[in-house]
Amino acid sequence: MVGAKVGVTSGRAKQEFNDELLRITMMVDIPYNFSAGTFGSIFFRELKDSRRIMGIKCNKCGEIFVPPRVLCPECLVELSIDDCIEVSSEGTVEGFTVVNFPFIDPNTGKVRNYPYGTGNIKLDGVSNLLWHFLKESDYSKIHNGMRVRAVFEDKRVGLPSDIRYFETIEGEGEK
Amino acid sequence: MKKVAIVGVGQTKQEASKPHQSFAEMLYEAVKAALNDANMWFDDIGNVVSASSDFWDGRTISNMAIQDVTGTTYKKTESKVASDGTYATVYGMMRTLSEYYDTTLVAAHCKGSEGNTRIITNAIFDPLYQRAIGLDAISGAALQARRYMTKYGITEEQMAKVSVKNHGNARNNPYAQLPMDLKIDDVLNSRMISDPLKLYDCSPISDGAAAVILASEDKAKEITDNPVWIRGAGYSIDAFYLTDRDLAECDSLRAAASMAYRMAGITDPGRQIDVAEVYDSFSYQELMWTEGLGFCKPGEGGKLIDSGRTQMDGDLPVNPSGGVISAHTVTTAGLVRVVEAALQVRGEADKRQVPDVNTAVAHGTSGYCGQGNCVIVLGREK
Repeated sequence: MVGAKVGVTSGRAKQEFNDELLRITMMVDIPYNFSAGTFGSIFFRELKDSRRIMGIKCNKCGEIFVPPRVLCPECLVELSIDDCIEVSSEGTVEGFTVVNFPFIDPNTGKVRNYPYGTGNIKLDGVSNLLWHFLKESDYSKIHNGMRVRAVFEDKRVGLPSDIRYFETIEGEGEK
Repeated sequence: MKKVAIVGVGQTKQEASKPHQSFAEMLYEAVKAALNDANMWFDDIGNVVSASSDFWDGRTISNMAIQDVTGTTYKKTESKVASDGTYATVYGMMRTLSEYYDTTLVAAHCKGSEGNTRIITNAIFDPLYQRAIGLDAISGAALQARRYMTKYGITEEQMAKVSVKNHGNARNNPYAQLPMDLKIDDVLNSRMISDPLKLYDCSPISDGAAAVILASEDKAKEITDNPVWIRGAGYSIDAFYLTDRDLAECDSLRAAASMAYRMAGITDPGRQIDVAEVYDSFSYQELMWTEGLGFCKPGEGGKLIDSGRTQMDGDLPVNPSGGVISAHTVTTAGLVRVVEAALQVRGEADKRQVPDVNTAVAHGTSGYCGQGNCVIVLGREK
């Protein structure tokens, strides 16, 4: 009958109706092409072509930041590509976590092998931190103050993963 | 009530793609231009209101990564309107009126080139009933255009006149993406996109940023001898489902305009307003918006364009900048309208300047087919 009400009133009817509830599945991938821009392009190009980690030195406060950017985050002075400098590929772990769940790599869409170590690394001479993979994935062996150095991929494409990971420098920064 | 003034404006050129700039570098260009225009620097800014979209930016909480380039790192409040920049302007006006802040930087950005327009504009529609049918920005607009033509007898030629006028006006605007010398036949014969909309009835999707600096009444007089006063502002929203609306009508724009005009003391908009910058994502929309803004009666947008009044040499030029049909930075295009309207009031719109502008209107939309509307009246006098 057109216009008849389909009501869910009694407790029993409600339970039976709940069994019929549906979900609508969406399987849309949204691709993005982010412009690295002027400063990001310098960072990734140097990483790819020369195994160099680039930062930027503020021409006012003298602090060095990684990666390079258009404004000093401390004093908001405009910086230029001439302020870009190579920074050390060695540093000290200042924070870490071992990831122990399946993570989908957004660059590839594939699940990354886990567990894997990550750390906030203070590169020598740099004021801020670089977050990256640690070679060590046994969290009982990772500690703040641990000294690490960047290991570059042989085949580099201009992505953060051109640094394969930071490996422990044995004999330095022991607990 | 005290008033708020625009004391600085800035914009980037709107382009199909800006690979030389990350979105933050792009936004900084507009912010820097506005700061320079106001002879101010970050230290002089009280707080920031931004406009951007998570979907278009491709990041969750899109405003979280603009702190450096809007000068808010560690020091200031910033909050976002996830909608058009005209709404951010109204929000910024309110924050300034609160008297907690003397000045507000309003900043909007979008890089349309980095996402996927089809997927993103489809995703605004209802996921249960409508998304899979294929509604998106263009097919939704096509439904509206067809309904508008059917109800009021608007012709494809009248729609084409908007495209010819605005792409022609864009030739005078160094910031517009698509300056073009078109004839009506060029529009009518351009590739069919979604009937009745053809290629030149549709806006492109652009990369660009804009910024506006607002100041309280007292502060504005300290900053500049040439403040542009926000005389009135209003906004309103219609039903979400396109299928619940009569798409030939723009009731929410009428309500928004009515609110803004009441505040500004405007009783005869067609005579009291000297120039308008409206959000014409598609050619036919300019005709509808001129109705909604009260420049003519409902259904007479076609007659208005036929009359020549909205041409550059008419008495009520609409979109001297070339409008959104000539450059469409989503979430930002409304703020570009504010920038352009402010330049008109200041008499600094260069080759696109309309003579003797006292009162200008900037219009932004949010949602599809003009679901949400925001109207801002700017003037030389308070």
